Amino acid sequence: MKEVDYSKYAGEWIVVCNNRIVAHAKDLTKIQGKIRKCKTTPRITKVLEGEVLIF
Amino acid sequence: MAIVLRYSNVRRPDNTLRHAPFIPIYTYDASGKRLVFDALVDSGADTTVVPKDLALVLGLNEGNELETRGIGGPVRVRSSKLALTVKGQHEAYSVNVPVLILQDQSNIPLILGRNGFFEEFHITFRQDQEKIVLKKVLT
Repeated sequence: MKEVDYSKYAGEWIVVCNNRIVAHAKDLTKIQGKIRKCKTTPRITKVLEGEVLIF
Repeated sequence: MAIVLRYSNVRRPDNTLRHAPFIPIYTYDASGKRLVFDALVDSGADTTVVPKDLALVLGLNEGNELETRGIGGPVRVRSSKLALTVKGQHEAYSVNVPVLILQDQSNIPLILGRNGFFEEFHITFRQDQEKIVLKKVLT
């Protein structure tokens, strides 16, 4: 499986539409329009920034 | 039948790659558009946790504000429900899970905790294979 390097988007949400990053932002609401414009089902990922310890 | 999913690659600031049990979950935003999110399956989390901006995009109804405690200390949250679907090659299961919406700025992904999700699936972490296996609990 191809490994994709998203490290330059650390701390941001990225929106992948048709295998292409179409938007990225720290606040997902800022790229809501790009999400809706995607004609297929967009895949949304939060790119982690360092270790994450949760709850 | 079971759903077998590979761990996702997570690149750390030191440029090393770690593999973590993120799985794709399908849901809908506030306008009814179908989306896929990568969610971290966290057996140590009591409840599913949703960052505030994600909750706004999904149009989740928010309940009263509560205070809860995480490893990092107290956090303000509001309760809600999230309808999600997990898909394999030959099967798909939809569940409605209780969630806590973080009210403060956060830098976390969507975290799938135990309540409402682990009751629905027998979950096996195959750490050596970097895979996670979800087998639906038959009711």
